[in-house]
Amino acid sequence: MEQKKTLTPAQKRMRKKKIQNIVRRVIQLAFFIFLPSLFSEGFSGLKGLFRQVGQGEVLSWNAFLQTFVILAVITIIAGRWFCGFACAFGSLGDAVYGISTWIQKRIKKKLPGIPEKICIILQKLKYINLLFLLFACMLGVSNIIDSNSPWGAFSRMRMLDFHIQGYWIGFLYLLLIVIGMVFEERFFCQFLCPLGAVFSLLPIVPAALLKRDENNCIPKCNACKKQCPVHHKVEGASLESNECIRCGRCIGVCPESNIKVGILRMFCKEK
Amino acid sequence: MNRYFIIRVVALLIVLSTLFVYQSKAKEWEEAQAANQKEIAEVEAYNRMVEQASKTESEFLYNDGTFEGSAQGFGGTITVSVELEKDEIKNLSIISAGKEDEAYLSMAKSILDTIIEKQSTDVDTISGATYSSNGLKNAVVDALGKAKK
Repeated sequence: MEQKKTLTPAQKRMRKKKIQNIVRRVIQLAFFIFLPSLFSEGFSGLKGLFRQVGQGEVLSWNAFLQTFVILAVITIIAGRWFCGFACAFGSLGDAVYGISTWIQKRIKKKLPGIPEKICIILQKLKYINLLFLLFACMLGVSNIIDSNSPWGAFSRMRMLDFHIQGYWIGFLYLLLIVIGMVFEERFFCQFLCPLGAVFSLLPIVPAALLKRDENNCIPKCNACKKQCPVHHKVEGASLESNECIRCGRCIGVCPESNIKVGILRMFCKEK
Repeated sequence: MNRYFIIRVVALLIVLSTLFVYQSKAKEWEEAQAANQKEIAEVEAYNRMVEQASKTESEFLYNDGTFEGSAQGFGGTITVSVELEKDEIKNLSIISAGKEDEAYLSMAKSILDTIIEKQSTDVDTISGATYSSNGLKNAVVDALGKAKK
């Protein structure tokens, strides 16, 4: 008990950060085991809409579209919690990057990362990917994409099905993506994910976004930005604000406890 | 209010209203088409009836009865049963699809209705659930192979 009392604020922060991290990993693992295909179901729902438009059919409600709408509504109201906590492909990225950094620490060598400025530019790639996929759906050639998709390959691997014949393009993409994940945290989510691109375009309620009180910041601290897996500058609603995947690391790392969800900040001010 | 938020709201509203307008147009097209297709289906059903009535027992291609067939789905083997009567698929049901993903299988199931409706296994797979629906279709093909005289 006495030891607890003597914890410095920095140690308390470390402990808080660790607990936060463990909670997130446990939630991610639970989703990975019990609801591992939400991301591809959700995106299939959206693809279905565009396919029907391309074919001139009446839009119909189905299980996939329902998943998509639920995910989109949650994202609009509360932010991209799904990406940070529930998406199995995001969790795969975290796991691969986690193992990669652990090994890097062990062998005391650091892999070269992608410079931040280039990352911000590469983050726009996902919109091109999204456009390409939806366009393919409208043209009615989405079956070709479906059978060569890295997501398809991933769900096959998850089912422990290693029959690569006929699907090797998807497996090759998946392999390349995993290699990318080794070098850059959330490689796929940042640069390629079409569902993430949709979420980035949705109007997330500003009150649900993370915001920092820059007046209280320690000059040139930038701890939050250095921790951020998606190189996000915590500044409330902005052009890039929807990149935030709600991992919550910046909240834990901030020495001034400066970062809060918009709506909570308003309450704090009143006090 | 934040301008980025407003721009995104406006964009979303534009997309949603476009879909809404599209939907009402698509319904008009479908109604026009449905009337047309209903006539064709009636003629086809009548033709089939006449054809079958004129056939004697030995002329049927398939045995009557219930047959099981299996094929590879997404996660494993899918088994379906096919009920045949006078070369007509009366009923299709899934016996086992143990390793199939629930959500995908429920999407894929609609292919069975299409097979019964068209009385043919030459139907398009369900987009988004390609593997499961292909598995179901191939299982029906397998069962029909067993039912052949």
